[in-house]
Amino acid sequence: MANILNVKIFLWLSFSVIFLANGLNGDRITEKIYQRIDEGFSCFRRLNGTHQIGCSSSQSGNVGVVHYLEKKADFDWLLETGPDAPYVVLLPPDLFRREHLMTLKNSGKIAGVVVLNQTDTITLRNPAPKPPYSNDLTCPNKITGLYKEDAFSSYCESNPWNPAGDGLLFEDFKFPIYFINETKLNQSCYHKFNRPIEGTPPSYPLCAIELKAFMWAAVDTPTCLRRGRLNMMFNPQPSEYCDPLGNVNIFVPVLAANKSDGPVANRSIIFVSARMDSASIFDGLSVGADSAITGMATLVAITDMIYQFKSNIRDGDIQNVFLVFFNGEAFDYIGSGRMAYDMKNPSQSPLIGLEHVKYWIELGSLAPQAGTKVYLHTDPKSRNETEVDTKVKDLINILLKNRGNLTTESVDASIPLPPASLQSILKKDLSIPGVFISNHKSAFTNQFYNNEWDTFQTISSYKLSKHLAEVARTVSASIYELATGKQMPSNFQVNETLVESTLECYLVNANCSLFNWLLNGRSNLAAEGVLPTYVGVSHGDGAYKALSLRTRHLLAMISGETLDINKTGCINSDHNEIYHYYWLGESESNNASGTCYRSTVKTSHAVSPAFEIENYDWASGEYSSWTESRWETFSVRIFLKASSLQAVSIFVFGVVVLLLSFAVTYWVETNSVLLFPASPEAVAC
Amino acid sequence: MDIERLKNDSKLVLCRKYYYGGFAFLPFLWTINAFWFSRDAFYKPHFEEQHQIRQYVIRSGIGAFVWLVIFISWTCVFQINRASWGELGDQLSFVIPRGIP
Repeated sequence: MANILNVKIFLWLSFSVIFLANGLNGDRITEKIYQRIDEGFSCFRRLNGTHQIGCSSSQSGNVGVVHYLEKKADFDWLLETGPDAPYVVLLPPDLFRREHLMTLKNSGKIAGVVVLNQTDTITLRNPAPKPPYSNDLTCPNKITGLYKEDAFSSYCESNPWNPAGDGLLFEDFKFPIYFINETKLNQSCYHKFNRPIEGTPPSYPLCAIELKAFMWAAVDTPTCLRRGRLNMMFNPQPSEYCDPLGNVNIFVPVLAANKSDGPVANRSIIFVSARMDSASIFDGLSVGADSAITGMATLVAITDMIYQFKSNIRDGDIQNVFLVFFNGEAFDYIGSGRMAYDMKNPSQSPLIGLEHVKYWIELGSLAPQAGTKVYLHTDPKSRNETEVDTKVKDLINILLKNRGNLTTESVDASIPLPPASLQSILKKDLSIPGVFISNHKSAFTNQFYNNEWDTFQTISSYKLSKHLAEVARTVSASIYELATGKQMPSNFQVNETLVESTLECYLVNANCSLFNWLLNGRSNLAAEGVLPTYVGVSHGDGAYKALSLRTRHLLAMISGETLDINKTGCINSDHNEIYHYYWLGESESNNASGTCYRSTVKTSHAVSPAFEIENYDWASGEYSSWTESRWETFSVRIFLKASSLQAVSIFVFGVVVLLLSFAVTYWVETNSVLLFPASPEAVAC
Repeated sequence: MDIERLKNDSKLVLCRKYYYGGFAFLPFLWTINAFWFSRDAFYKPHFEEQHQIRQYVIRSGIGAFVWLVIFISWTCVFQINRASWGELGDQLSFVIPRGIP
């Protein structure tokens, strides 16, 4: 007995030593099989009044064998020979073009597409695809524009504003599309396992990828809104299927409205506007350097200049100047459409209405890409009226007169407006004289309109901020002359460093010193890089979203007067209709070091009126009807896949073993008397 | 419940209750009735109540079959046409599927 015990103890000890010496690794088996890729941006589904666009995967993700297409010839191999369908195709950005995607989509062999943005190992930069390249339509925002069934609606067909636009942004794909920024996929996955050698298909095991981007909404906006409502009744976990796109517009009335001034006179306010949003297929990847930020930065500089001469604004018959930053313009003019609707039907507070607008100046793309000439566009429909035409001519003359060092040209009066927020305003009131200032005469000079490649890298030049400063000076001088009737004195200067810091913060690095100062050192942004300018969805208070918050504070700093009160006094001040109080510039080390700014910066809800009008006709195209589908988390992971034959044979083997074990157990059961002789203890029992 | 030990007249009473109960839009009662009492109705040697039990069993069987046909055709029609019915399809659905029309 003692012998057996000793043996047992010895065996137990030796096995423990062996196990501990090997070092037990407590990894989950999932981690040994799958490798996650987190640096991806996914295409997602959006819906409008009549269609769905974008991409979606199946609920458990789309699985496909990885294949890298480097040149056009590779497409033929994949479509004709490739035997391991379904594939997930890796494309370099240059091949992400409409004709290739349509070929892949129609082949039926594709379970997903990944746009692989590889850093060039020599220059250490990510090369942009060959310009021009745009995924928007050739006539952007055509449905909600000003020219629908009239003489000018065919202008864009023959002279498209965005000739490079292939409309991929508005195409519906049944598979997911990802944009991934790294090379692991190509090297360790494709090159190691999946490369066909001299045209012969590779053998199993193959590297496969699972792309998960499951969208909840389908068909179109009224359907997904209706489903969300019906869902509320019976479902234990009710939720909406989609959310309307929307954010906030930010506007700055230069002079604070004082009740004692009396009612606002008709035709007494000058509006200057710019757009601050952009779009792209991929979520989180839209910067809009020339599509939006150049105009916005110029308007910031104009704000600064106007505040230098704000005491002179009331010299003539102009009562105020409003500076507006529109959001959501990339998607059928969400911000400007909403503001025009609010101004036409002032149901809420007695705000300014369209009848108070005397002039409207809008800033579009202004990067000096094809030369520094700046063009002034006007709307021929409104100029049919002689009264409006005279005012437009006055406005243009004053702009041309004050141009300074800028080369300007006034575009022919018969040419309609390019896509601009001004179109939404004129839709509601054709008697407003308006001018749209941009860097192109016919087609866009922006090489990457509403695209993920419209970044600082593609517009930067040594003359960018100087040029924007010049435009700002021209517009401010014109406003001075419109308001006072006199030339602007030369001691009013543009703040060029302000333009540079704005461009840096919005286009290069969102962790810049300006933003940090504006948020009292608490600008805690997780990622490096730039804040996306996509309009997003409107739940929560849009004024506190990352980009809107910083823009509001920037404008508050420029336009506010500093008050001599401490932090608690500032924060607890009563935000009323006229003034808001901002505490800025506090440094982390010293709590009492900030300044209190009192400014008139305000936000207005920028959600399309289509979602608030009873029984709105969704097919009418009067207002933007865009919504964004809801989704669960995105995930991308790669793993090695065995051939289906191997998987099936293992399964069949398992079933056979199961059946065999039934048979063996039954046989042993029936013959147990023969197999197991009775032991002495049992006999005694 | 084991009806083997019941007396014949209790069996008849039970069969009758299930038969009448099925008229309250409860086809499952008819299905159970038909299966439960089928042995008594057709395969047992003759006893007094057998004729009536046989009647009830046959009628329950027919009723259950008719309901089955109705259910299957409605399910097929609904599954095929729900997407094209738009709003009506969504209002008839208890759980509206995600991601598909």
